[in-house]
Amino acid sequence: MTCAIDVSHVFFSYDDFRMEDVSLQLHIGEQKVLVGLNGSGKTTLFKLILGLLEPTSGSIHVFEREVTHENLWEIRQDIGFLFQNPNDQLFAPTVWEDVSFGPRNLGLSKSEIDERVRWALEIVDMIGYEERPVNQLSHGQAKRIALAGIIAMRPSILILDEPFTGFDFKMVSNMIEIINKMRQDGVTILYTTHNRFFIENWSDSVAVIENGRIVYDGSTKEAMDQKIVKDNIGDWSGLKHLIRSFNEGIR
Amino acid sequence: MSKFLLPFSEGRTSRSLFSSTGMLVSSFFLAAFVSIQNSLIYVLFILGIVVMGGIVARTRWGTVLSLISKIEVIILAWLLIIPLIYGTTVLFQISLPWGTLPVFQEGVERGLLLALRMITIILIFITTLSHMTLSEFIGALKTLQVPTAMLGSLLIMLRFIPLFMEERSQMHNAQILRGYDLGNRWQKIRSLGNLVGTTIDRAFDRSIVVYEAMALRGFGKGSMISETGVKRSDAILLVLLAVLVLSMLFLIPHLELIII
Repeated sequence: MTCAIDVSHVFFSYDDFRMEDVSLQLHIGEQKVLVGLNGSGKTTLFKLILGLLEPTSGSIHVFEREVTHENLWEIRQDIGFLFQNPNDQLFAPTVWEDVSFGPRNLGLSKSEIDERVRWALEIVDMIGYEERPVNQLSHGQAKRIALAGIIAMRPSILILDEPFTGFDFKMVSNMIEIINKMRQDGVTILYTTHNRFFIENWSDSVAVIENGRIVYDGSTKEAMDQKIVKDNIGDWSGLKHLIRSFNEGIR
Repeated sequence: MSKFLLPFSEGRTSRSLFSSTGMLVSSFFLAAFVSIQNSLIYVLFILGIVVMGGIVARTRWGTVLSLISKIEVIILAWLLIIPLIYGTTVLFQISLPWGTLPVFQEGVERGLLLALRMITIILIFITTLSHMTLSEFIGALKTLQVPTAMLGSLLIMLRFIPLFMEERSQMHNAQILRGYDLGNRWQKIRSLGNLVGTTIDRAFDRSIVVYEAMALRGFGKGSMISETGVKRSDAILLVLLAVLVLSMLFLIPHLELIII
């Protein structure tokens, strides 16, 4: 299978954090979840892929093109990155202007920009919010608009940093529907989560990052039996026992 | 609108008769004209015209006045300090434990004039801004050839100031919940200092993330801001301004004579 993203033997360090010999493949059409404890290097890896950080050594290829200073804009047109906090991403005065920011930078005509914005807002079910100031959106709405701003650029790969943080059940279902629609259109997905449910039920493969090293990369089915995976997504059955024994102690 | 620092109207475009560029230029001109007036009656006349214009244009006075009230302290400071330091004719004296404090008549007049000028100028700008959207304001500055890099920064600043204010307010609420009010004055000052420091620190961190988010969507590759241009109806604004200036030159001196 051809790689959408190919991270090969990447080394990177800043302050006390070190990323060592990281290799990761994301195949076209695949949905991979990147798992790791806080501070393990997930966001750093994303930034390296997006060219926001530069590896000390090793290489990163997106659709067989190496990520370099010269082709950053080409690479970034292929990858859409959803920030964990939508407020980090939305900056324009209105929804329409924020969603149209990317398409405008692609040099599209006015009618094409309008069409892209409408299409993206339709996908995230936010038609009618075009004139709304971005700082008057709820967390869920802001996240959907942030996603619309990315998909309006029609990327082939979506990288989602904790897409469900702060969401209620309805918003989670809505977000899954949106991402599934994108997948049906052939978009490749890489996302992070701490939630075991999504890891088990909403990914083709799992990669585990621990202290700046990829310690597991394989199919979801096999991953759930691996100790290293359990260690990094947490032992939820152990937590259940801990709570039960605590409650019994109180009684 | 409560999260907006400035009184811009919502949305992408307003339904104003005049272009945002025309309104902005007119308000600059009018503000400059106010700033050179040395007569209280002239400034009052312009203030009256601005208020009447605002009423005709259905200004959202609630938003405008609430914003003006936020800067009343600065205006009051002029009113109170100048009479104590400027002038020679003593109007009256305030007795204090360590001596007397003279209040000068020239200072009272000058303080009143400066305060009234400030109120009028601020009213002109806030009323004008309340009739355009943030996008139109930025577009008008672009039409006036303000550099795009500067406008980009302004856009982000206007977007994020309310966010920082909200963040600061949330952090302050968290301080209150943990007994901020029970602390002594020094502890309160220290807590507020830490609060401001943290807000600035977070602002810097966030500005980096925002820049990264913009870079990922091609910041600098295309035209981020489109010009709003001017409308034919802006000529009406020019005529109105000319009428105002002429009436100031010819009408008011006669009125003054009649009053005297």
